[in-house]
Parts: sequence; structure tokens; C-alpha cells
Amino acid sequence: LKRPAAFVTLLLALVSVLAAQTLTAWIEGEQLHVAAPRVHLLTGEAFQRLHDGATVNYELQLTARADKAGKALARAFARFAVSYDLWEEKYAITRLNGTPKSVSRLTAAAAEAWCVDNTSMPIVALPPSQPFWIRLEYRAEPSGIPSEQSENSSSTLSSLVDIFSRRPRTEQVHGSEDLGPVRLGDLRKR
Amino acid sequence: MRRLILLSTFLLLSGLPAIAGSQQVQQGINPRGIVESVGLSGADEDTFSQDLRDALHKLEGKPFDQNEADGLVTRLQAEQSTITATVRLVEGSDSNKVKVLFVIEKTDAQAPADSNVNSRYTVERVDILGYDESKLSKAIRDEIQQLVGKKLNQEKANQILREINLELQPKYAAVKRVMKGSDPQHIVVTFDIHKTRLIPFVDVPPNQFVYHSKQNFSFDANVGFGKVNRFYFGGNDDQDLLIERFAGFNLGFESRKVGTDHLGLALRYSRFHQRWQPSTVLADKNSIYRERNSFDPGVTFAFDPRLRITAGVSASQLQIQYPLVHDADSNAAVASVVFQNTWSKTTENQHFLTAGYDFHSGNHELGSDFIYQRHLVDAQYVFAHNKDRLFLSFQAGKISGNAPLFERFSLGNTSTLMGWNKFDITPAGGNRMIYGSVQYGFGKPEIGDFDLDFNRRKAIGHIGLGFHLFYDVGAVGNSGSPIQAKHSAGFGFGAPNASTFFIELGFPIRSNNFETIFTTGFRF
Repeated sequence: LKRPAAFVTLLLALVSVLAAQTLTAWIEGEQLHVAAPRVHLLTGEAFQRLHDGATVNYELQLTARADKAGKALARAFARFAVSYDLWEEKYAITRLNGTPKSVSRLTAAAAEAWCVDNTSMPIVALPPSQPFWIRLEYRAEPSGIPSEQSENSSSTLSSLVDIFSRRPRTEQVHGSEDLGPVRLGDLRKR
Repeated sequence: MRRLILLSTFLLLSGLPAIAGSQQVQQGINPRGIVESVGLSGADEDTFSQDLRDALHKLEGKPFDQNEADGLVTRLQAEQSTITATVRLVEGSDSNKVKVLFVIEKTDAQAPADSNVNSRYTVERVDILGYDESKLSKAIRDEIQQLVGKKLNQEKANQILREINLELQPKYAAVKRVMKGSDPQHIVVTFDIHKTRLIPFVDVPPNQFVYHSKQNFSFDANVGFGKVNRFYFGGNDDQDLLIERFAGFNLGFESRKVGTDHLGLALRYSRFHQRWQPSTVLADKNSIYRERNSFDPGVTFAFDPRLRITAGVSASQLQIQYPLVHDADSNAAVASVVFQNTWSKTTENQHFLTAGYDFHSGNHELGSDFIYQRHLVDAQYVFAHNKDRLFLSFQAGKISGNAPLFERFSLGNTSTLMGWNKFDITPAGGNRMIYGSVQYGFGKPEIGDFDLDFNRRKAIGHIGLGFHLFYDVGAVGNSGSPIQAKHSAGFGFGAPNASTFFIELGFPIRSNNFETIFTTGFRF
């Protein structure tokens, strides 16, 4: 009995993980919103910088296309300044473009969700009856503060110049998630 | 009993995040208590959507869940962009119950100038780690002192970091960290200073993917694994660097630290098949070879990050094609000295200089069939002012004796005499060369903030490509033959010194046969 129970538990865990990895979309007012539980912005080198008290800027972009790799029908971009409160151990976010917005005292998951939720697209830009694909792209901006020479670069003049002009080659948070095809009319409304 | 202890430990640990996560829990309140009621303060509940109000009240009757409450905070703030919401737990009617209060505070609709949440804390002290603070300039020490006792100014702290890096480079590099202070109102800023590596890894040939309208595509790509010691391998099909097109592979091992940071080691092997332009074959048929296998061991000694010397051997076996196919050895002792440095008084204005001397000697003692001496000096100076760059480049070389074709000099590729084709100047290379170039560039390839304003149907933001102008002059040929200086000028887009992405049009300055040269590519 133990083995089937363990198998079912494992299967349920797997299903729940897979279910959690999908991009979901809904309409709220005149905006199309997405949720992306699989997207983790607060990881890697950006996470370390945040916990060292620095501000990390994130760029998120929502694109709607007629086909998965087709021409963009509409695009929305959002830029956020994220910082980590060293004492409260919570995240604070300021939206840098569009309508300024700020939130604070968020957990990591809530901070990631807030960034994604605040990258919304007006539905007026979307086809009312045609199916389309949605892509959420995200990346953390490099620090922009020249501090260390690249570990693996040849020490040429170019690399010397690049220390001051090029973005450092460190592990950066970036990625994308797709959803589709969807129709505007089929999306859940809130 | 053991199970009981484990269970207690588990319960204790599982309770900890909730306790730690809720900063607003007062003493005596059970953070896992049953939610007796949910309320809002600072805003009318009716100003939020019915969905959200229902979700808030769904907390009631259940044990308090910090994650669920955080999710509701997010939704409250998402519905009204000008508020900040926080959760507070208030004592319930008995010790097992709590009241949940969502405190709403109005925020400024404008984005704050300093968006870092730690800017509300006072700097308790500034620590300098890994370096004697008294050796920093007085100006920097004064600026550091000005941080103490005031609210954290991130921009100022970053500026000090830049100034420390400028002052201590190239021997040291600094990183900034902010940590908790001795009480919850204070933080500590640290500048962690550490020594930089003295010896860099060197990709030979340098990594690039380029196109020249007269010389077609060339690529050289190496992949390496390791930070102090690395193994690398790569593929090549290149007609840009030499007067031959060499295709094949290379691999090797490099160490940046052999016992000490000052000593490095490199073992490089390459195996290439050659193809030649008809003009090269016509110019020096008996020097043509079909295969070139090379082994180049060498050691590097670095006095400091600015100055290093390298010595070694370059052993190449060539399969000569004419008049009969036969093997020949080209073995040379090699030595080089490289100096590079950066000078800058401010972060806006910087001066870079790199200069090198390279010496190869093919001789009988090494069993070489090619007896020659090759000297090459090169220097580049860059003045950088914000996004503007002025480049001055110089090269000069001399070969005496009989050097193989891969050692001979040429000008007219994607990085020298950019309005010319090297096969039109010296198809079989030369033993004398001198070259100078001046280049001015501003900007670099970048995509800045970008937005689409759907209401007005317009794009906001910028896409930068960078632009540069250049003027080249150079002469290459053989001693005893007339050598004529060639001039070219042009412009391009991309990195100001074509160090990364570039697109260039070069124009030869001559009275006849005016033909532009188009080059593009990526160096990485």
C-alpha cells in the first residue's frame, strides 16, 4: 500500500508543479494581466546584489503575437527598481516608467508577482476575436558599476575600455514564458 | 520520545518564518492564532473591489497565514497604486485568536528619487575591508566620513565606490555591500577591496566573427572552462588575421597562477589547413604550405597588472606544397613585453594606454628550417570622456631573414587600413610595416528604456548604435622594394573601437580605382 500511495503523492506533486509552471492570463478592467509562478526574478547574481543592499532594476515586457514567432501585435514594457530591506527582510519595488507606483514589505514571491502583475497590456491593442500568443520576457539590469575585471577576458585595450563601458559578463536573470493561443473572449475577467 | 522531539523541532521551525515574516506582531500575540476579524485602517473598505473585500474576509475563522496575507497586501497595492499596505496582528478576545488589520498609507504618486528602501536607515559606520583605509586619498576618506550619521545615500555610496576603483586600479578592485547595523535603525556600508588578477587569459587567435567585402567571412571562437586554470578549445576559419585562410581547431591549457599570482603558464596546440588567394600563390609560390600544426608553450611573469613579460617557444610543422610536397619546421623562440594602464582623475575622463613589443627568432638551435628574426611594436592610446572615445593606434614591424608566410606583415583587413584589401597591397605579406590610425567614436550599441504608449500610439525610449569615424595610414612591403604609404578613411556604427559589434565603410584615398570596403562583425 505504501508504494502506490508514494507514487500517487509523487504524481500529485508533479502535476501541481507542472500546473504551477504555466503562464496564465486574465482581464481586469481594460488591461490584460498575466501571472507567472514559474518566473523567479529574485535569484542568482541579482539576488546577491539585493541582499548586499543594492537596487536592482528589472525590465519586463509583455508581447502579443498572432503566431508564436510572428509579428508583434502589441507590446507593453515595465521597468522596476527593486531593493531589499535589510532589517525587515522584505522587498520594496518602485515602478520607474508609466504611472509611478511603489510597494514595500513584500515577500520574494509577492514581489515577483507584483512586478509581473504590473506589466499589463491594454486590451484595446489586442484582436477581439482572433487567437494570439502572449510572451512575458524579463531580465535584471546589470549593476552598471565597474568594479571587477572580467575573470575570463583577455587583458587587451578593448577589455580595459570595456571595464568602463560594457556590461559585466556575470550571471544575469533573464528569460521568457509563453502562453497561447488564446482568445480575448475566452480569458477570465476579474 | 525521539519522534516527539522531531515533531516539536519541525513545528518550531515551521513557525519561525511566520514569526520572522511578520514585522508587525506584538508580543503576546499568537502569530498562528485563529483570525477573529479582518479590518482596514487608513482607507474605506468600499474603495476596493468586492472580490478583494471577499478575499480579505476569507481569512476569518482560519489560522493566520502570513503568505496569504502578503498576497492580499499585493492585491490591495495593485488596486490602488498610491497606497502602501501592511499587515498588523492585534490581540484577539482570547490567547488563541488574533485580529488582522491591514494598515493603508497613502504614498507619493511620484517615484522617489532614491528608490532603495534602505535609504531610510542611518549609516552607523563605513568599513573598508582588505585595504588600509589610511592609504586612500583624503578626498575619498572625507567623502566616506560624510556618509556616517546620515540616511544612506545610495548614489553617493556608488560614487565613492567608483572613485575607490579609479584610485586603486589596476592593482585592486572594490565592491560595495550594505549590512545591518547594531540596531534596527542603522546600517553599515562596507567597501570590500581585493587584489585583481595579474595575468589574464589570452585567446589566440582572438574571438571574432567578421565579414570583409573582399575577404569574405572569418570566425575564431574559443570556449574555456576554469577561472584560475582553464582548458579551452576552439574552431577557426579565418582569412582576416593573416595572409592565409587557416581552418581547423586549437586547444590548450592556461594557468594564471603557478605557485604565485605573478607566474602563469600556457600550452597551446593548433592544427590548421590552409587555403590561399591566387595572388599570394603567384607572388611567392614556393612559400605556400597546406598544413600548419603548432605547439606554443610559454610562461608569463607579471610584475603587476600593468606590466608582464612572456617567454616561450613556437614550434610549427608546415607541409610545403611546392615544388614538391615536403615537411618543414618553423621553430622560434618567442618573447614579449606588454604594458597597459589606465589613468583618470575623474569618472568622466579616462586615459588608457597599452603598448607591447613582440620578438620571434627562428634559429638553428631549435631545428628550424626558417631562420629569421621578427620584431613588432604596437601601442594604443584611448581618451574616454563620458560616451566619447578617441583612439590613437600605432604598429611597426621588421623581419630579417626568411620567415614563413604566417609571420609576415600585412595591412588591409577588418582592423587595419580599413579601406583597403591586403591582397591588393602585399599578397604575400611584407617584412617591413608601419601603421597609424586615429579614430573618434561616440555611443555604443545599446537598447535603452523602451515603452509603447498605446493611447498615443507612439514609441518612447531610445535605441543606440554608436557612431565612429576613422583615418588610417600605413605602409607594408619588402625591404629593397619601393614601399608606398596607403591612406583610408571611413565611418562605422557599433562599438567606438569595433571591440564588439561593428559595421564599417572604408574608403581608400587614391586617385584611381576608388572602391569602398564594407566590413561588419562581432568581437567577443
